[in-house]
Parts: sequence; C-alpha cells; structure tokens
Amino acid sequence: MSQPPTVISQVERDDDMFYEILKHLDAKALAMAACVNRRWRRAAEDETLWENVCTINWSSASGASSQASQLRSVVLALGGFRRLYVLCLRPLLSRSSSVPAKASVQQQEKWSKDEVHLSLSLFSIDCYERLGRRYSNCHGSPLKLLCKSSRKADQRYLVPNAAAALELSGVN
Amino acid sequence: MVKVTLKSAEGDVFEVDEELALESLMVKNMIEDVGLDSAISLPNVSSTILAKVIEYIKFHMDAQKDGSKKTSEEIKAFDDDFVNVGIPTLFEMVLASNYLNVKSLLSLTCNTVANMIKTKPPAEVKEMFTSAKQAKA
Repeated sequence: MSQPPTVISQVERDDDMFYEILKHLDAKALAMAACVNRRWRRAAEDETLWENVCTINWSSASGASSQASQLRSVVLALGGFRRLYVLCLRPLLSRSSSVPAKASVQQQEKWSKDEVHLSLSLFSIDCYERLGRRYSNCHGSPLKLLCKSSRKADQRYLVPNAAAALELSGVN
Repeated sequence: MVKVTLKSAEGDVFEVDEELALESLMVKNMIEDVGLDSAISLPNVSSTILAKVIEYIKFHMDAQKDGSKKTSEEIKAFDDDFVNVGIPTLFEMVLASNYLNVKSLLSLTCNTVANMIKTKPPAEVKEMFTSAKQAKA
C-alpha cells in the first residue's frame, strides 16, 4: 500500500504499543482478536499475554506470584499458558461460577493455592497424555470429560468465533 | 516554580511547571540530559494532542494533592470524558503517551481501545481499523 502511515497503522505496526492494547483484553477477547488477521493472530498468541490471563485469578497468597519465573518455565515446558487456560482454567472457571459469566461481569474472586495446584496438576497430566499418545492411541482422557461437560454450559455465552478459536487451540 | 518549555511538532510553545513536565519520563530524561535552559522539542506530538496530555497530567496531579476534594467518581468521570474522542485522536494519544512515556495515560488510552475491540466480532474490528485508515488517508 502506498498510503502514508496513519496513526492507527502506526500503533498496529508497533509491537510494543499493540501489546499495550492487547494486555487489557480477557481470554475471550484475545481469542477473538486472533481471528482478525495474521498480524493480530501473531500478536494475540503472545505467551506473556496469556500468562497475565492465567495468573490474574491467582492471589498472591497462593505463592504463584513469588515463584513466577519458576512457574513460567514449568508451564512453557508443558505446552504454554494458552493451552493451560483452555484445558484447565476455563473449565474450572466456568464450573466454579454457578451463574456463568453473565455479560461482562468478570470473576473477581482470587484463586487459592489448591485451585492453582489442581489446574497445574491437570495440565501436567495432559502433557503426559500427549506424550503417551505418540505411542498408542488412547481415548477417554479425564481432561476431555472436564472440557466437554462444561463446554455445553458456556458455549451459549461465547461468540461462535471465539469458541471455535479456543477449541482449535486446545484440541489439536 | 521552575518552568519548562515544550515545543510541539508545529512549533507551538507550551510553558509548564517542572513538576508537571517530570510526569513524562521522556521529558524527565531530556531535562536531565540537556538541562532547563533550552526548549524541549517534541517533533512527534502535535499541539492539540500535547495540550490534551498536559490537561490530563494537570488534572491528575491536582487530584493527588493533599486537600483535593475530588472523589474517585469525579476522576473516573474526567477520564471517561477525556477518552471520549474520535478514533484517530484516541490513537494519536496512544502514540503520544507512548512517546512521552506517561504510563497512566498510556494505560487509560490502551484500555479504551481494548474495550472497543472487546465488544466487536473480528470482522468488525478489522473494518474499524481499515475504514479508519481510509478515512484518514
């Protein structure tokens, strides 16, 4: 395009500024942003953004924040924060809220240590399952059950695109 | 009170208190480097936007002072009104606050853009960005 750079494209092209904007999005909005185009997809898949999305529910008392770098290396080794969110946090979040996220009311409750540990344990199970799947075709994973039952419940509240994006990234 | 002279892209001169100017980390570094004698030129910021940024910093500095009677509702109302501008102006403010390194304003403007994106499906976001591009060009 021969158009002179406008303010909007200047912001869009600058990785740091684009990150500043995406930082304010929640998981659903991030998944939708990834559907805009390739540029947005690349930006919205940033691990740090998903780390924020994951850790926002974790209280400092859970000890997760004091060991942030340790946690980061573990999660990255097991498949990344976006995967962690889709497989473990989203199902748990939608289960724990009896009224599934009506409108834009965000869940304000912080997670306890147990909930953080539970989601991380489930995540490591998922990782081992994927390793196992390479050698044998195993079906009926406990995580799948967790995802499937809750998916029905919250699908109505998700824009189809976002639901599809979350599912795509989760179930590969 | 020591004054600092800021020069916008158009060459307009703004004289502000040093205390206010230091809120911009970029200007703060400039003052440390070159001192207060010469005007600090900001070639990336237009006069309109610079005036807005100064207005923002001033309001928040007054609100933070002891004895300020401003309630958090009033501050929120000011912020909401402040970012209630057209998309091009909003993005210019994102650029300016990033360039001037004013963290609170960058966070406010980016949050506003994020809220616009949040409520729209991807196709509309795409349209919002491309149509705004064409309107400007």
